[in-house]
Amino acid sequence: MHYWRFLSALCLTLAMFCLPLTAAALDGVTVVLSEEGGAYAQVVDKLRAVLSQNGGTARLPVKVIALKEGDSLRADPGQLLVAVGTGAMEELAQKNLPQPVLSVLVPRAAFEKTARQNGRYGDPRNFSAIYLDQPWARQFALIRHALPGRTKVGILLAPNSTELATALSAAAKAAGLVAIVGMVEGEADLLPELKRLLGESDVILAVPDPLIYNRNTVQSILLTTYRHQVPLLGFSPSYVKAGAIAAVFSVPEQIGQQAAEMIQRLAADRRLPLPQPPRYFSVGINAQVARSLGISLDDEASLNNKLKRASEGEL
Amino acid sequence: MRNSLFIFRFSSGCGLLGGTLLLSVGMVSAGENSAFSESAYLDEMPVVLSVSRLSQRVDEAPAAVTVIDRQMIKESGVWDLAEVFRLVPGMVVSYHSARGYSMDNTVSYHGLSDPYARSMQVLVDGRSVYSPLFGGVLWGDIPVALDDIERIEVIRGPNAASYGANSFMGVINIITLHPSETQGKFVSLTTGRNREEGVARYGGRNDAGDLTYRITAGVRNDKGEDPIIVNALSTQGGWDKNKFDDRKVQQFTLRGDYRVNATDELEFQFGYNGGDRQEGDAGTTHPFWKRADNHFEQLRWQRALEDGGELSVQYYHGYESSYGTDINGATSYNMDVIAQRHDLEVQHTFSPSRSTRVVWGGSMRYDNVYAPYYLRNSITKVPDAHAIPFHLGRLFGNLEWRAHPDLVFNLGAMLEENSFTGTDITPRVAANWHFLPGHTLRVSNSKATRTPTNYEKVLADPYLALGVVKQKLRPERVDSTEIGYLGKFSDLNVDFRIFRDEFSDLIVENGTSVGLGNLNPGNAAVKGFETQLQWNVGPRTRLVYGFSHSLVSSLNQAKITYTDAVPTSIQSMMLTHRFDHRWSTSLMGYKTGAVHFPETDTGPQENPLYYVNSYRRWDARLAYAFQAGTTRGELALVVQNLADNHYFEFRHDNEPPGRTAWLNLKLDL
Repeated sequence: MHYWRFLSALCLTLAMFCLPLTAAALDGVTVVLSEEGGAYAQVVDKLRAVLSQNGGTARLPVKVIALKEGDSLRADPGQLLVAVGTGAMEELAQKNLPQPVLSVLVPRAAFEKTARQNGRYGDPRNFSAIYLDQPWARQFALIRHALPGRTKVGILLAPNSTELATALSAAAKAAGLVAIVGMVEGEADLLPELKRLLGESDVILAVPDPLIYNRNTVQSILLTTYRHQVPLLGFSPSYVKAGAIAAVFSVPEQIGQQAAEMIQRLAADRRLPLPQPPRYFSVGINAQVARSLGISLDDEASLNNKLKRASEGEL
Repeated sequence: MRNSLFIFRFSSGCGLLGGTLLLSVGMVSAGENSAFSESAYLDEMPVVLSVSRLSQRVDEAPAAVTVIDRQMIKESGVWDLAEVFRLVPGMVVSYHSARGYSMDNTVSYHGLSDPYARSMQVLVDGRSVYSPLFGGVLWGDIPVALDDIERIEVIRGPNAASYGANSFMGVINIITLHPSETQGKFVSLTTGRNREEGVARYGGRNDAGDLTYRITAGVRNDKGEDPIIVNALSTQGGWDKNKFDDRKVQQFTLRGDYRVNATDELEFQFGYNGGDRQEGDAGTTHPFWKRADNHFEQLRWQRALEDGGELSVQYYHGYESSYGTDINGATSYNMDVIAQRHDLEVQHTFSPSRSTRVVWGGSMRYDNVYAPYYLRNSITKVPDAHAIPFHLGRLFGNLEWRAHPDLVFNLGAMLEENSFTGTDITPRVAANWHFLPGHTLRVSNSKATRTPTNYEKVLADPYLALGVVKQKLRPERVDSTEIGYLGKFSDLNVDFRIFRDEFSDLIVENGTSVGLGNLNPGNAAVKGFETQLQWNVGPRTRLVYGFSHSLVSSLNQAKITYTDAVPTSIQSMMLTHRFDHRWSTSLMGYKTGAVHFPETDTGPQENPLYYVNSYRRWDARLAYAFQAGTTRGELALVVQNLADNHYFEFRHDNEPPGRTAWLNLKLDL
């Protein structure tokens, strides 16, 4: 036992000086939660459950600490660090610890920004993520399958998210759709711009940007789109409940499952896979809204299957 | 009650301008952290499109519906709210035609009415504005600003199963904007011939964003009709003079919506509409001025349930009053009227299975009316200073059953018990079959009652007491059957229906009915067809057209000529065109066939005063939209009665104004 520990310490030392962290056996997972409870706890519960099932590999001990204990973070070199949520990810990125860090329950934009700011952008094997947001292709696939014939997809973007415009347009085009982007510059702009967009669009795709979609605006946005009899695709179960016609999203358990599987595969080789979108996802629909808009939707399960088949090629 | 369309009740508002949008350069950095955080995905959102905010699809509704949205109201260039109903097939609208008590507009579906057109239920955000005294609606006295209305749903045909008694020939459901859609400052100023108006609105919210509200205040100076009738049929007996109908309106409304949590919402409304009103018909030489004071308070709590259903509780208090002393020679009359209504309603919507949806509930109402002059003893003519109470209890339910994806059944009924006429059950059945995608056939049968008003009740009581009339006053009844078709073609929506409405026990307030010993002698069957077309002629041009054809058969009991009381044909059209993002225009045309309304004139049909002749009328609007900084505005010129046609509406002492133009400026500051 001492021998192995010595060896791994040696490897670590070597790795730190010569190579980026590489082949050292993984002997545990330390999970850092941005917040206790809620979605964060759901991720880790699932992660722990899967890792303790001894599915093909050795059972891995999972240690969970909250972000506020982060200062005293003392992970052994053989540990993999899992950051759940943006707060934990930022904290671990700043600490610049030797262990590899897998961030989960983080939006892609948050991950990229944090990685860049902390000089870890070119180091995906040691600083990687499972994004919370669905790939554009999957969202456009949902539009194609759930709302066939609706090809003009209106998208509101704020200054923060402008850079997405090109990617969105390309993904829409690949799906045989047309993205119509409306730029919201300021507060007074939102509804006029939305109304303009509604005049040209068959469907609105909500792209998370808190300047556009937040608790205060959701009411007027949903009421206005409904008034124009245009369906809105949301990005979370909560949006579907609020009045979005449908959404594709990954719930915390699904993220936990993917993280666990990723860790299991990685047990022998601590190099993390490249950052990736969620592998498991669900489709939610609001049947009442659909019916009121006169849109007949497939049920959730069949849309889910269609999207799964469509996304096999993505991962 | 606030069913949206037939079954599901409507919460008040929905609309345009929304929330505090965070934004602005200064806030970007504050927003930046959350911009890149998972909270957007994880945060709980309030249920916005709850059951009561979702309209039932028109092609799945158990009755014919016309929806007039905000845009249409604006483009139609109407001055009075009531005028907008000219665009509804089968609707007869008469300008300032009511006589005595109120010189207001008359809106009736298919006619058959006197000036108080009491056969339609009218709701504003679920609150009945059906007047307890004479029935009908004092349109100009409703505390609601045209600019606050989100849309109006008009149900053509009885709908007592959802709306209860008095939803006799139709239901008008007015829905105002949600305060989240009326944020910011708004001003509307109008000036023109015989009409001036100023309306200001402020919409705000608290810092937490869970309370949104709006305050709308307005003043209006309306000179109404011209004093002298241009094309008078007679110079005798005052038939060459229009009625005195000037009115000054001060209006104030407040609405606040508080989001308690993600599922619960509280809505509060208060409204006031008052001012000086003129009264006096052709025979009088001087106007009688009275002061009107109307207000209401409304509270509604609504919870979105886990299963997609909804529970709501609503209470409102309505207060309709007017004060004045009419001096006629040596005699003076106390014309005061105070009518109050308290109404409490509970409603629950749920889905017992995937293919069914149920809405059910109950309500209690208490009205009381003080009107010593109008409620005087019908035999002795002695004024009665007692307030007359009226109690009403209801239980209602509707089951919507989707037997097949293309076949929807609606089964509904209302059980009512009131202190005037006892207990009644009014059922409705309807089937909607989407026989081809976009094409629907609807068959329905609906029964409804109209409860006697306080005025009718008080009129009957002394005769009953004397034994002159043996039968108690009964509610009026209608049994309505219709076959409807709704079709969607590429640019054209068609709504067509054939109907047969059998009216019985119609109340007649004249000596003949007293002589008959039966105050419910009237029977009439109205059959006909009507259609409504919406045609998107081009990307920027739209035509809305309505046509209604009706024939009445009746024995014309108690000397009421029901057979002449419905115009044989009524047409309306609205053509709108948008030249570019600045200029837009609309042209409205109305044609109503000759008609003789009950108790407007007597005499044989050869009497030139007997029929109100068929008339045509054209209105137009030209608007220019602009933006200056953050201010968006629109300047519009409206011209009503373009052809300066001098014609009569309702009666020969009622000639609407000739060509009338005004300018309206609307600013979103």
